[in-house]
Amino acid sequence: MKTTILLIAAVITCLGQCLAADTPMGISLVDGSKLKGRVMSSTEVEVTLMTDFGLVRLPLDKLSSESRQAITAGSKPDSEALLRRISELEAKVSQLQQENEALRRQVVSTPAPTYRPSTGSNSLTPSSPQTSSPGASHVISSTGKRHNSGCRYFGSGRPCGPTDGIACKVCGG
Amino acid sequence: MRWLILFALFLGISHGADVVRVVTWNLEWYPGKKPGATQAERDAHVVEVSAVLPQFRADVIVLQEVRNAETAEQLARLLPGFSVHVTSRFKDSFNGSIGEQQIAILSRFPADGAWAESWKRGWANAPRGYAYAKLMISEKPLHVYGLHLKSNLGNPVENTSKREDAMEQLIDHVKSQAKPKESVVVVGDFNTSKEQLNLAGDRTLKKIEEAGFFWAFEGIPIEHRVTIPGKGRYPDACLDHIYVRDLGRPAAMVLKDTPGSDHFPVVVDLVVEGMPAPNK
Repeated sequence: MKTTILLIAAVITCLGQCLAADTPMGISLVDGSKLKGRVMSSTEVEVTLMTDFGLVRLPLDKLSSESRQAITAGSKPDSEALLRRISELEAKVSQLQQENEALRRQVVSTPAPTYRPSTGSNSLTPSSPQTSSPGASHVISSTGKRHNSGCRYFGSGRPCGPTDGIACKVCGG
Repeated sequence: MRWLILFALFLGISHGADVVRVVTWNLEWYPGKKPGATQAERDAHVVEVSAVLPQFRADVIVLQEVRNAETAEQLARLLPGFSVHVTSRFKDSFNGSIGEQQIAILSRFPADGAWAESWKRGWANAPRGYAYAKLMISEKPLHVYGLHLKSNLGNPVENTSKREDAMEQLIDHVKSQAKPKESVVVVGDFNTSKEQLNLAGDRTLKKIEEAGFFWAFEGIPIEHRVTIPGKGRYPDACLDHIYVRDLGRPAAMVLKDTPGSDHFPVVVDLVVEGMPAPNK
């Protein structure tokens, strides 16, 4: 009994030191080999170790039961709740990233609006009848009909939005 | 020796498998560490890099920011059995001439094909392009891609878009070039990370992971995978990455404090299964 308690205490001490204090821990494999390294991270199926010869990813089923226990015990407290919370946050981040990307696509692929001088009373040049600007894709005629850039009536009128006025029956507006 | 045996065991090396060491390194305007470097600065940089490159014991080296094919050839001569399979000739987006930040793929394995291609205009007009080599290892192909995605200088929205656009094009290329189950490794300076808040909206890395690639830094804390140490207002960052497909779950490692560049090299040992022997 005393030996068992001592053994458990030793394992806990070792765990505390190895997992928290960033010191190397001894790991036994099922085939009897031994390895020393610092635990970088562990999941339900594998552990990533920094060893003397580099980083190694080991499936947990290759570890002896004691080593497996030592590694998994260190990441047990509240892990279920934390993992659930992480999944929720990851889903939220992913959704925001997708929205962000969609917005960025709009910004990047839409040409910057071109400068249009005001035609009000402050204009230094004499006012002239407004006609469609070279960059406009829709114009509205004096009769309130909207034409797109492919329409034969596109040439006259003032620039407008794609939903302004009444759609021309020839081009669809 | 014991370690080597253990290492081989851990990696699950079976008969007919090769361990291939891949290194990616952004060499910082090699040679010279800046555009318009003097001859003395160039020479000093060559000496620095020449001293460390052979020490990596690499089988495949993907370099970014090499000036031209000639400088890549000079580096290959330091490595016995190596040849340069491709050095890109991407045009500078500012003046249309060949840029000074090219990508090169060097290897001691033969290549079945190798080329570089600029990104298409796409939806964000990404700069540069990708370098590619189809290496043959024990008669099995290993598709190697080298990247140097848009930097973070300038407009953040445009920068992120350019990286994502480039990644979408790369994923399309992989789909058409590499058959299912063929091994693919994509390495380089992605200029984006998983930690930095200002890059939280960047889906470049997410896109390649969604395409079935494994991030070789998975599970490794940031303090062990800083590939470019902080400078001024820039924090320590992990901008250089290695992604693999159909190569298991290898662990990449940063060769910290390597002199020769503002970036550190990143290395990964891949187990490439050979073709089964005909009489087995």
